Amino acid sequence: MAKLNHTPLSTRPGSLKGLWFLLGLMALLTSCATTEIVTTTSEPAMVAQVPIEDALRLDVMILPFDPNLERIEAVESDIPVSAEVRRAESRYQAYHLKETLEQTGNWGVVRVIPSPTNFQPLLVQAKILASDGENLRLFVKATDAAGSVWINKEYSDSASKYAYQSVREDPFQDIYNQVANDLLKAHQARNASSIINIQNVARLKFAADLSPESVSNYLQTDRRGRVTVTQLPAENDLVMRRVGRLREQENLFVDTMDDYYLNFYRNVKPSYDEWRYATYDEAVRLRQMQKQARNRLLAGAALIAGGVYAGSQSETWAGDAAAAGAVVGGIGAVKSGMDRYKQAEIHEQALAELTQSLGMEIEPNVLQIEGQSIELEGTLDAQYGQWRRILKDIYAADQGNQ
Amino acid sequence: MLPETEPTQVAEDETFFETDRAGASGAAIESQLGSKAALEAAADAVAAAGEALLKAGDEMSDGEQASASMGNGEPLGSQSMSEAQIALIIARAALDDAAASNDGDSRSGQWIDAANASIEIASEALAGAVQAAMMDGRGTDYDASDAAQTADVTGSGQSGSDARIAELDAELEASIAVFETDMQSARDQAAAALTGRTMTAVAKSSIETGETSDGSEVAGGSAIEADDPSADADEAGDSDGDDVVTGRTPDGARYESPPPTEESTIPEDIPSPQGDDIVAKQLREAAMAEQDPDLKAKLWEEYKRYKAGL
Repeated sequence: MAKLNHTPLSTRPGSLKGLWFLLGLMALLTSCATTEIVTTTSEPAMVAQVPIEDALRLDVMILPFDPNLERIEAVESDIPVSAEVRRAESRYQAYHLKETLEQTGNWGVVRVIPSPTNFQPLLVQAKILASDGENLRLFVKATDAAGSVWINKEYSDSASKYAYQSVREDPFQDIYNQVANDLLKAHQARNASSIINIQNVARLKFAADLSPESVSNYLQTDRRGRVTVTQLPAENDLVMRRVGRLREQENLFVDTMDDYYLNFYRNVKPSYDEWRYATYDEAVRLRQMQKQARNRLLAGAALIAGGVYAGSQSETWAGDAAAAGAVVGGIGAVKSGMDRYKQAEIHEQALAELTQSLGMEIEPNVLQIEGQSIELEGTLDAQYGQWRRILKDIYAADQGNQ
Repeated sequence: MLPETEPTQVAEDETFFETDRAGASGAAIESQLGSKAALEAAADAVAAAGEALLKAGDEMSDGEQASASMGNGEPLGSQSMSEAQIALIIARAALDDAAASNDGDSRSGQWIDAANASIEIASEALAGAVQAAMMDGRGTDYDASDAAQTADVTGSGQSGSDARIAELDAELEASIAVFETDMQSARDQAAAALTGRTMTAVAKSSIETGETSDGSEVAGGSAIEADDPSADADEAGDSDGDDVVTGRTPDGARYESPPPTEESTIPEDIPSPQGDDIVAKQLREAAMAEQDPDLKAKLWEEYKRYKAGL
């Protein structure tokens, strides 16, 4: 019969020390996993203290956000995402940013445009990294016509329950305000001549798009892709006046698209708000369940591994008992973790159903705005082709004159 | 040409409007009759537009040969051009109605498409003719000054290149007119869709908040509300939505709400009739006399656009 070993902890065999180490490690890991860093900001959208002169207010064009559909299955969280919802969000969120920027009064005309062009004074693009009732993460990039990058960073926000109880503003208004404020800072960091240069470059780039032969000497691009104006056309330059007329038509197209986007925004908003509100609770619970499940599985696995190892090394009944207890505890933790996962699946299913329901409801709106964009863009493209041809012929006739 | 119809004939022969009396419900028959009436009205409008165009073309030809002008100094053909312009607008509206009420009949659809294409070509040609007439006599702001920079605008001393440039400028303006019409049509559609929602939202908003909105506040809240806490009140100044900048449509006004269907004769945004030439006068009179609210709105838009070009 083995002799009972009542040695102090400090002199216990290494196997038991290892078991305590594992328990300590498990506790540490668990505590790390449960630490939640909540970043909340309540930064309002700023208006320039010194109002920006009309001549220095830049027009801002915003593209529909990249819905990031290729990564829709590989998002970090397990919150189900629907392609239809994401495509709707890409336009909804872009239009909401447009509204936010307009309200600040810091900018000229702010519009959502369906496709990128290189002749807009300031172009804002974004990619949706994550979006559900609880979290929103975007990557935003803003570039001016001269090629300078104004912002190029990730923004994130978490909604609070209060945001859904009080429906006065978008639950993620903070993100839009932060983007607006960063754009304002970037504007204020530039002097008047820079801003005017951007506007001139935009105007000449538009002219170059329609009549490259007439405008070739006015712009220069350096190795970094930055564009500068080498000389300005005369005030009464006929080409620029014709191009000015056509720029009015481009603006008309943009204004028309803005009407369509407004309709889309309003059509989708009620259902989208309801979905975010309904999925908020489910998303929070799902994340909690998943975290608890992970923690318990991790802890359980550690206990089992530690207990088995300790048992193999134990030379005492106490050691054997401790090891067995650890294994039993570990099995219990694993089982509990598996139960949590099952509960998490229920929430995940509820979320999936809510998301699918919203997707079906708003898909007609998405298809409509996509169709309208294609149709109007087609009209504009056809018209541009005709205008380019006419301007080219005018240039040729003018050259013949000279 | 609109194919002849034999509505009393049983559908054994192929008729323009094929009906299956045995299977058609009362509602379907009514729909078909409505579609037929709209189609006939469109055909009449297109025929009238054609006659007006022919008349304008004849008078312009006479005017070119004889350099004749009317008693008030306007070039001969101006009145007929304005009548043709109005007739084209009416025809376009009638074709839109016919298309809307077409119950899927492919032949009707094809005819409507063909008629629309013809109307577009005619509009483009008329716009070019109007522009040419204007340049011949008066010229627009940039046309008159630009032509003076490059050639003798009286015509007798123009080089071939200058004439070609003038011709291309006219083509450019005509093309712009067509594009503006297309965009206006698209905006009308967007406005029509917005009207339905705006009236509902305004009704709800005024009940809940007691405020009259500009159509941009929807029940449920958004960042565009006046007292949005996301806006810094100390620095915002006026943050009640009035800072929304106006757009840059050719007539200078952002389209914030659809043209109201009202019984008053002249909308508030219509410019004064002072300085109207014969074309503008005709457009104004036609708009004031028109009963159909959609067509009335289109005629006013045409009037404003024409005035902006004077």
